[in-house]
Amino acid sequence: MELKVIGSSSAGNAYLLQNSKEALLIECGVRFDLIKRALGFNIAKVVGCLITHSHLDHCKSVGHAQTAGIDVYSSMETHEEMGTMTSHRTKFLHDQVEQRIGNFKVLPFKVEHDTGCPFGFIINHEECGNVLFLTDSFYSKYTFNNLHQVIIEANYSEEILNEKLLSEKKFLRDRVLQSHMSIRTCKDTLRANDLRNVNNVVLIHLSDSNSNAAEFKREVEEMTGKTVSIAEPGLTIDFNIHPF
Amino acid sequence: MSTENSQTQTLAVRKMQEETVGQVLTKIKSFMDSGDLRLPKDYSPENAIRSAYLILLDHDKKPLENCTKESVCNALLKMAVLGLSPMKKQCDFIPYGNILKCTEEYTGNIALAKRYGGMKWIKANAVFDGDEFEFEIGLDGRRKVTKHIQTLDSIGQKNLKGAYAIFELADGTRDAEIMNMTQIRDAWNQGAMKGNSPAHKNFPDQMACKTVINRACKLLIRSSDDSVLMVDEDNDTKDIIAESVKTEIKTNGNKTEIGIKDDENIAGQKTQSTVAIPSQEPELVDEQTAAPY
Repeated sequence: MELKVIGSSSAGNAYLLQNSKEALLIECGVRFDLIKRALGFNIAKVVGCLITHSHLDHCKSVGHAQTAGIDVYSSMETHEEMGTMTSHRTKFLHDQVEQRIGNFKVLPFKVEHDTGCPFGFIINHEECGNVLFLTDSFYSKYTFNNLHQVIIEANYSEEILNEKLLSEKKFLRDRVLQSHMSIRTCKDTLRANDLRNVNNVVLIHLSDSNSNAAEFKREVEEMTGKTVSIAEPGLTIDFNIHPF
Repeated sequence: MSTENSQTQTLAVRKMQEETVGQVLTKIKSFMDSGDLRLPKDYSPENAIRSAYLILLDHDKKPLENCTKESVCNALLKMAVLGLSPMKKQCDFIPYGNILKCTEEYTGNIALAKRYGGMKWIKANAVFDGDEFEFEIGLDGRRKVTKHIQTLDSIGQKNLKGAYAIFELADGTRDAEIMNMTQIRDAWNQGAMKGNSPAHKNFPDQMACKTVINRACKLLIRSSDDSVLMVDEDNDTKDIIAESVKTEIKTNGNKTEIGIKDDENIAGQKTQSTVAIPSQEPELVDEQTAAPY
């Protein structure tokens, strides 16, 4: 199993969790041809697409995906907001109700963002174990049982954000505070969870202007002692439960 | 009857007591979250209440068992609202029958006078028989000790003549509280022991110093305002969003554990079980306090 990052920023998010036989698409907020290319044009192996919420940088290509025959899983509110209620490729997820998609098991849970019913996911597959996918949430109400891989948002550093936006664009800063996860909260969230079985921590959705990738990576590495990666387009990470 | 039985009983009592402490903390937190209560920035109610709990556990009269839950809660609440630390003996817990009361110690009065009354420092001395002691009252009504000569012979004499405390305020003015022994005994007579406790008999000079310090601090405390608590008012209101985000994360963050119910289900479908996900008990994490390490 590998994690392939197609896009991870407010310009567009899409991630593939795949082995040679099947793929789970997480988010489709980039141009659809980029997704196709990442799949090696083998769309048939996609068992489904998970979408966290209805902002365009997470779901821009939802129409294309459904036309291409991909089942799209999200909350009813998110489907309403995306305008996808009528497609037969539309599948509904419910808060904390497990859903089987191919050989993946998905547990959606509510996160803290400024849309109708945004979700984070715990994704389970025998090859990669329990994967936490948490983005666009200014904190998590939950801790997670027995994680093996963590994909988590580290959007901004408070210091940089305040320096850049506090005086002139306070409304924008306030919105970020209430919808995205700071590196500090990200670390607090990691600290609140049992990371003993975790192989990978992947930091995603770093803000272009309000983050410092190298610093974030160093901080989380120092704190967790895990392999930490910063998600960038084209990055592929070995996501197996057994690292060897 | 069995020891096991009495053990479970003690455990139950202990659990109930811990809950009481937890409840007071929760109450204080909810007051603070809603802005109904302001505590000094340098005061940690968590530490104070935890240490109060330890002190009450060790107390000879077992107030946690013998006093009403309400009075225990109220005593802890009073301590926290005053911002006093029981570990530093700034206040004392005294059971009166089944009612527990929190009483400020003279050290607590000094802390309060410094925090709220703008007092910089205070120093008390006892005046013994044989001391040379002179003072004057200035035209501003403030007293000033002009001479106090003590000798090794006079120091520690049981027949005290009085005591005084000199203190300085933030603006640099100095004043002194001076009491003779009659005044001090009158003050002691207000107390339950009427000045007849072993401490009063064996260490009258120290008890007299406490009395004169209490009198000096009392006026400063009672005439003070709460400006210390409001210093950062402007900063706080400027950034309501940031503060409320912080509060929400602190209150609701990482509270409930969730996870895929039975991990092995998928792994079980495979004929070889070598890649089975190692299942784990939900274990160790107390949901209230989270953080496994």
